[in-house]
Amino acid sequence: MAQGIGQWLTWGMLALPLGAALVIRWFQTRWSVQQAGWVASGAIGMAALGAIVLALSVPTHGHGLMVPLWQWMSIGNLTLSLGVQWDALSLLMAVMVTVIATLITVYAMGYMAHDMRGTSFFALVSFFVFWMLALVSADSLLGLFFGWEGVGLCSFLLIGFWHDTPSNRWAAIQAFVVNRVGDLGVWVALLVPLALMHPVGWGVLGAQVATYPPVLQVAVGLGIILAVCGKSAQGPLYVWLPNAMAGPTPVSALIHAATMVTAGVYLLARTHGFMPPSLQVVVMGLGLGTAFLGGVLALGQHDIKRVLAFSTMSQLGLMVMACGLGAYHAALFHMVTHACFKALLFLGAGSVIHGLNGEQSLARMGGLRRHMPITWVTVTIAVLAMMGVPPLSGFFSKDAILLAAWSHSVGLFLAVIGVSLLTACYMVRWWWLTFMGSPRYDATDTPSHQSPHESPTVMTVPLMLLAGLSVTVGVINAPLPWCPPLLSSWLSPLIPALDGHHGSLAVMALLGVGIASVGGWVGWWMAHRAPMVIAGGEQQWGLPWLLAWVSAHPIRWAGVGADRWVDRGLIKQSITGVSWGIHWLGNRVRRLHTGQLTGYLVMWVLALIAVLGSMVMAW
Amino acid sequence: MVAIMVGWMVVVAMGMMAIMVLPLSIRQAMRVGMAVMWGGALAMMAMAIADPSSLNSGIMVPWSYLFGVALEFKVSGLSWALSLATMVAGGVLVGGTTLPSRWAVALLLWIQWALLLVFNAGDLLTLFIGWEWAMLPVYIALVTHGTDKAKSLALRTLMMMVTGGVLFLIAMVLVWVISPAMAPLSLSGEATLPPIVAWMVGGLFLMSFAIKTPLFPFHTWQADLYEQCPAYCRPLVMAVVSKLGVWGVFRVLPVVAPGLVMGNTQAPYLIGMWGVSILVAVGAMYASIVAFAQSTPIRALAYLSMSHMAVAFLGALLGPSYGVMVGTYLVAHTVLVLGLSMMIQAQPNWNTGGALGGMMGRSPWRAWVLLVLLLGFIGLPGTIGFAAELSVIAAIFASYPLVIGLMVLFPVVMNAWVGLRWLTEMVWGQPMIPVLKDDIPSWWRFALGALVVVTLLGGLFPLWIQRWIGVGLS
Repeated sequence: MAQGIGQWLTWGMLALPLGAALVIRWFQTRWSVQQAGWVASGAIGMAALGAIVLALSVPTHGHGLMVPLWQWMSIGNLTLSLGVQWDALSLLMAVMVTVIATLITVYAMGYMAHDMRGTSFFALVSFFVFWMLALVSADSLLGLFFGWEGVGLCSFLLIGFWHDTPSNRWAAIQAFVVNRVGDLGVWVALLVPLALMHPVGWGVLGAQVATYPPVLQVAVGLGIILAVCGKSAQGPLYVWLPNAMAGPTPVSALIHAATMVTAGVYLLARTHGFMPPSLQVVVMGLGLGTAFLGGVLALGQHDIKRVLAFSTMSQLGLMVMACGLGAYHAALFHMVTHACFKALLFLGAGSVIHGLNGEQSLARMGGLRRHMPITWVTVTIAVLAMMGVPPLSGFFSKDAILLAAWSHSVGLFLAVIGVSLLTACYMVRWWWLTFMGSPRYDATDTPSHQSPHESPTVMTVPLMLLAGLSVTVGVINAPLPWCPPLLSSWLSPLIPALDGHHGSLAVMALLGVGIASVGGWVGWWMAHRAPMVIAGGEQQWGLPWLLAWVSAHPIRWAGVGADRWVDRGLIKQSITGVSWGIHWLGNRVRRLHTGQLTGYLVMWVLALIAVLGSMVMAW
Repeated sequence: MVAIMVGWMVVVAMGMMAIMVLPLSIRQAMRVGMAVMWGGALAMMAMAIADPSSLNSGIMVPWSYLFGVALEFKVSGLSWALSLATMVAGGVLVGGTTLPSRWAVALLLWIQWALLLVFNAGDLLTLFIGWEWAMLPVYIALVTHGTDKAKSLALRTLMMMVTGGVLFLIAMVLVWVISPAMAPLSLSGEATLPPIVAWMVGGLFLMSFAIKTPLFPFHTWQADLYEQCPAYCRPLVMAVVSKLGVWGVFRVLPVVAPGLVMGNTQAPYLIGMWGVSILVAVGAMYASIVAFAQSTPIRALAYLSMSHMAVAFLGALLGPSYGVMVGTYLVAHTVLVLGLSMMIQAQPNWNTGGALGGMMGRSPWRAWVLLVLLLGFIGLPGTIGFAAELSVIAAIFASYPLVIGLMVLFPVVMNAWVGLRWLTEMVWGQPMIPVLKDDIPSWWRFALGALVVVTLLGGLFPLWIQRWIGVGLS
């Protein structure tokens, strides 16, 4: 592709969502939700088209298409620039983000139709897409950080979108602050090279970091891991993701399932050369631990969206684990398939919530397949894909991760199978409690539950398209005899493939079916026998409480204590004490001023004697 | 040209203060004040744009032939930027606040005069005169236009300032008496003091600057001052006067005690300077934690500012080689705090503990202005706050032990936590305030719009700001 066309496409892709955000914001009070929705989805759809054109035309070897933007700032003698780099990785992300975002924006036109602030919702979603594109297309760690924080800001604004409820405001702040803790990692990874006056472009950064002393390499690596923990809800920094479900469901689908949370996986793939081997093990352990934790926590949830949030956390853990193994292709493949079926699951959940007029508790659902057939069929496809049932997309991507684990060790392979069993278990429980069995939405409970209904066409069409993608997108990297793994061959010039086992497709299919069957049976059993009685599950068995007690609460207490005891107590009282001391001394000295000359004369003589005495002694 | 302009502004400001004594009406006083401040600001901008090289200039004004001392003005891009901020802030405050009397205009002119002296001083004496005179009008404003609480605070503040001033004076006299070769008190070149005297003088200056900044544990007066200060001078005090301490380190230390500048420091004093640095970094962390416990947004902003200024103090200790990076930080902080303080004090209930919510519903433009300024303050990329934070923290990472670099990153999180907490209190939720009229005067609207533009453009193109303020700096 000619450089000039590439530049125009780049500017257009960035300008369209940003322009849409500004235009919608400007006409916010004059436009209807539908108008705003059409503008947003049109702009994002055009950006998707641009991304696809670029993906089909930009050569994947070398650095791809570089589009310098402007010189940004100088640090000492080093001038930092901002620019765009379109290579296989950034284009994969750009296509995924814009295509999913287009479908979700169209869906939101139905979901947000009756919301009073619906127009500003579309402005924020467009703004988010702009920042997400800035994140994935940046040619340096600095540029990535712009997008990284930009998507965090949009996430904050969208989680707090219904800010009349205090808990939503709290969830928004929590998400931003926990992400900020993760962002400290990007700060460290950025500041170490900058302090050495080294540029931070992707093209040179990896080679430079490799020359650093081990302690600095570890600092950069740990910084990246911390950043991944924050953005992709890994390890103890997962706490914000379930609470982020306070935002509108399309936001949960777009930001907190399909795109923003995968930025951590993208960062790991982008910095694949930076990580010392000792830290690769940490990445692997972190991912595996989070995958297990997310799966277990998902089993205890009763909120239709929170189950999916923990599921996202678990699947992101699998992707991070694959990165730790060096299986970046498998991680990115799973990221793409997961984006499709998880967005579909969330949108399906949104359709259910819409059909039940806002109800989110699984305890008051059931039997909805009769009332919402399209939602039911599409969501069932997504559930099967997520469980890894062949030949759906999730089967192929999970298969790749399983093979990577097998290449590492049998123990790890079994652990991944354990995570997959958990996945099948909580997904079937969720699906059964929502759509199957007998209705639990008692008609006498609330009037709004009297008429569950299918969502309008504008919402069901994106569901069907995403269902189609959930079935077929696995083809891009499936080890099929008639179709080479396109994604791997596309990524290989940038990120080397892991030399691992290539298992028999039939064996892997049997394994996939077996895992889905066993896990699914347990999930069905749980839905039947113990649908709502997992004691403490809703509160995650006290884990967030424990984390708050070792992190946020001590800081808060330290602030209050320091303010009360140090600032207002010790320091202010010391100043007051000095002032009282001077006052006291003044009073004592004042008593010497009696007005009697004899007294003054005695003092004068005593002083004279003292002076003369000291002079004599000195002499 | 710019140096002459600054000198002229000093004279005009003094003259106008004298005119205020005459029986002008408050409206006339406001017009005169605005003419001086905006006229001065526009003239400074025009001259700098016409001839950017004149930003690196100086003039000498004979003052006392008895001691062979001249008042010297030395202008650089940074001092120009801070002087401009002083003039603009004053102009906005005169045009947009309810002034209690014509004396308020005189006090504002007085503060500006003193600040111009400090920012453009070419010698210690000029700097000292401005240094001492800058806080006196604040004291008078507290006493004449403040509450009862403000009156007791005024004395405490003044005593702290006098303590800092006495330390400054002792150090200055020592330099004057002992320096054998240095032109009397000039802030050019490097003084050739005996090492032990240089350390003593440097220590006294550092203590004085720490009180003025203020740094932990000399800081408790500042939040009270910001809260109690009359509205017409609060933004100026918060945005500009708070920079004096760091400016002192930046301007004085490399000249009188170059051995104290990090990077030049030799053992055994290096350990002492590391100790100072760790104390300052701990102070930055401490202030950001205590900010969490504050009961009003202005107090929270005061503590977060202390934290920011502690970081800037560490940057200023690195000396002139990092001047542009520290300068970027000072300019950014001035812009953001000026805007935030104006926005907060325009909000009803801001200091009573009453409900604040619902700005987004009542007055969306205010909410968005506050959001942009606050995002700048917490250092979000794309705003001038991030460019400033990145540059100064990169300098700290480059020159201090890694642990100090990591310590100054802690406030990055706390700033976001505290800032967003107050932002959501004010902007989101049901409108709690019965009436929130768009009663912000047009001068303020214009100024706030300009500050938002600077926040965003400065974040996208900080190189342009760096080139501007870098004239005359290393």
